Amino acid sequence: MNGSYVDWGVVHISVANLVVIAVMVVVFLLAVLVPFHGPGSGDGDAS
Amino acid sequence: MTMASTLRPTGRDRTPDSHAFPTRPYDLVKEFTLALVAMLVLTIALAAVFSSPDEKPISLVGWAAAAPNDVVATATGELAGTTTSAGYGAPYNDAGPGQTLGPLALQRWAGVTIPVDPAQDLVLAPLRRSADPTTAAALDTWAAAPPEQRTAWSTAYSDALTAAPDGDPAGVAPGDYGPVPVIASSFLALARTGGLEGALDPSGTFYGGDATRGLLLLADGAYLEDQARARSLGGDQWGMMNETGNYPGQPWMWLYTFWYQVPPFATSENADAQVWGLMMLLTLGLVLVPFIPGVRSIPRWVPVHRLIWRDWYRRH
Amino acid sequence: MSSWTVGLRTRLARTVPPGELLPDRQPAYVSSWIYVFGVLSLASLVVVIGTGCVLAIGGVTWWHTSGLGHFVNSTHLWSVELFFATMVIHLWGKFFMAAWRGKRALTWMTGAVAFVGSIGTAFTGYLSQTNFDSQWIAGEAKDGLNSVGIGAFFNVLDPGQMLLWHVTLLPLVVGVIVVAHIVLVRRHGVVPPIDAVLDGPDDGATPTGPIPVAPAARDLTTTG
Repeated sequence: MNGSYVDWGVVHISVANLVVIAVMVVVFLLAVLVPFHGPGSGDGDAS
Repeated sequence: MTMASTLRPTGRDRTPDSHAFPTRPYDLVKEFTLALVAMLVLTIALAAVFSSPDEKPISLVGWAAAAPNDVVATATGELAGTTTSAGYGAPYNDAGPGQTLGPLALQRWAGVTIPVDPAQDLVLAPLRRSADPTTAAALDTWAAAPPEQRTAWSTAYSDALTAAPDGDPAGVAPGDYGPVPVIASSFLALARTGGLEGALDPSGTFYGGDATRGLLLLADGAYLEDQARARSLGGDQWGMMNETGNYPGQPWMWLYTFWYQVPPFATSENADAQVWGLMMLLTLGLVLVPFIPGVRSIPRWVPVHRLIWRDWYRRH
Repeated sequence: MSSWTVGLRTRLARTVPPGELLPDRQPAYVSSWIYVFGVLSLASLVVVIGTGCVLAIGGVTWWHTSGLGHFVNSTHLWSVELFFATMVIHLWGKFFMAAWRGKRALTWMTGAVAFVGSIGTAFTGYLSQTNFDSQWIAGEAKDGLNSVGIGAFFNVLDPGQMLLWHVTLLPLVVGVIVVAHIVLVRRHGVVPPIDAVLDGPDDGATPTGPIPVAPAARDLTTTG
């Protein structure tokens, strides 16, 4: 069975692969942008 | 760890020791356990929702039923020496020079380690199992003929098949084809009955396991490629990263498959060797990023690190 | 060397001092979600190996004939997609952190080799599917590998050979590299921020000034 594909110039990519790559980029951006409040991340105490 | 200290990225690396920084509490085991549970749950959810692709393999019976003319043309091509495997070279035979990477003939140098004589191993030997007297007589005629005669017969028949409407053997113009039409049609008959399945395993044992000859035969035909191209799996369709149906394939192969889409590789006779060589070079580059001037400084120029460590930079 | 055992124990303790193998404190600058992608890729690798082991129980063609087998195959596929996705995000993050600084080049290099090794392992998995996909991939891949001589001993058209590479040789190689990678991460600790300067007692520490050196790092510089 053939799947759905997107064509853009020389690029020929399946929608499934495109979704995977897009999700990866979004997750990366979120990982960098969303504030992290881990345990004790607010006050760094010297060890 | 001699390696770690001798392979210094730069003589001016003034990165302080991480152990000397202020710390915060951290639970490594808890973090790993939560990560494992998260990935397990996500995996099961994705599997349950999306399943996975599994298209049945093409059997030789199926090939004969779906594309009988292709089977006849392929068998004739093996006899004429015009198929891919018949002119391949190493590691199967000496029929071709193989690809080169500049002055390096790596393919030829590696030698013929998986010997396959396509006419003999893919067509004639399996047909010898047939008890049909007409087939046996045709095989005897073929065996008794000098090589030039065999080539003349099989090439003429191959050309005639190409000229016939739809490559249909029934529409072939009369000519001097010797025993080739009988051999080719007997081969089709054998494939139809399922007699070809397993007959191509070089070990010749009850147990299968090595599909080399069957796959070479199938790949010599047009049917397998037609099926693959219909699913965007062709080499010039970015096929290396694609999958049957609406499933993600191997997106991590994007760069490897990219080179096959653009010149000079898209039209090169040695594209496989060239792309492989290029990818090895780029892989080496990835491994050696810490030592490549310019590349190793990109993170300093792109302020993503200002975001990642924004808490630290705000305070210091 | 009087005792090999003592020698090995000393060597191991020096490579990763006890508190650094399983630390309960982290440098304060480790404060971003990007840090979870290393452990997420490790966790998904564990799921990949686990689901592969379950597939191995049923055998090569089990997943073609059994609904349960097919589901287990689906978990194997999706854990592999998750493994690669998290590993690549981890790679992006570490690149932008220039995480090879401070004698961590070997950590980056083992990570890159683990990535490439995982691609090879996944490739042999695709060849072991015994379906249409593996037929076509084998037929195409043989040309690529034959063109540089690899096909002479690594026969992608032999699913028996590919399956054994997939379930024993390559996981072993990737496993060893991943362990080495993690040991290096634990040994050197998490890389400090780019241009980070430690606050000395008089707040006079500069990048060119004396840098406090922890026992592990001192060991590196004196024995390395």
